[in-house]
Amino acid sequence: MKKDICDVCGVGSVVKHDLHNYATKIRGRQITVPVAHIKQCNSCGEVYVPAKELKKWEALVQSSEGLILLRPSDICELRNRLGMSVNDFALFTGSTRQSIYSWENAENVIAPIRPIMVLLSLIQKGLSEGEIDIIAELRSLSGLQTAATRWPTCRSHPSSRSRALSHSLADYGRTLALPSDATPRNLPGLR
Amino acid sequence: MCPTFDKRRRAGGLLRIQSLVASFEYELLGHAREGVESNDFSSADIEASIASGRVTKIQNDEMQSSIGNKKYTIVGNALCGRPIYSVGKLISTDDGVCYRFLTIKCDGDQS
Repeated sequence: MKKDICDVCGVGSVVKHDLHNYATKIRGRQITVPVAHIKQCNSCGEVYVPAKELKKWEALVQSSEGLILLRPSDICELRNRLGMSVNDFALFTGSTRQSIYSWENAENVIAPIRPIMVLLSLIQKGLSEGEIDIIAELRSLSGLQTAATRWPTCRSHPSSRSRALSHSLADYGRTLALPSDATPRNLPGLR
Repeated sequence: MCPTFDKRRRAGGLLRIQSLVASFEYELLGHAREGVESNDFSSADIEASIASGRVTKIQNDEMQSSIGNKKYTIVGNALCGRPIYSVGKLISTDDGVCYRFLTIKCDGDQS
């Protein structure tokens, strides 16, 4: 096997290395990774980040920001509650069977992307609570303030127009009600 | 070179790269990570750009450390649709073959 030569200095070789308390940035957020399993050039010190390690760091940021709404076991439980096969659940979420397996695998670091995570957590809440206010839930998931304090106001007629706008928005997304016996066959939009 | 042969050669290389990236057998050089950070991309964006990408250029690898001594320029789209331009090469490591990203940029700022 060829020696893995560093692409920066062209002299040293790239070897596996464990760095403790490695400080780095992920999506603009400064994080400290307790143990980073990376590769490093033994001559110039250039760091090579393997994909699986990068995904672990991204998961670390997501969990620190409270963005991991469902754990792998929750996703598996939700799918079973909906009575869906992996194939049906992939259709339901607009993803692939491989993605579903990854999301449900506790040892895997692959989490659903944010919109799917939000959708699944809304369904989970809808199933357990019966009826939910989607806009209020989305606001609370994103950490925004309540609707009353944040709806846009109109300068000419602040009270009437802003109230009308807030009512129409509330009507638009008032409820998400999933029947307790929801299956892929009787959910709208699925065949 | 025969254009058909060149097309097949590009397609073969891309399929192999796509398969490696889909199974997370890839790594990022510091320069590529800087590009990811400065454009606010994530690993999912990189994977999407390769899955949807096409090889626009194949260059010789002056380091001669890659498989076939080739560097691939791939242009594809991130999850949000932004074009991503990446340069990388196939390398052989102790754990098997892996795709190494040397550069990642938003396609608009390639130079």
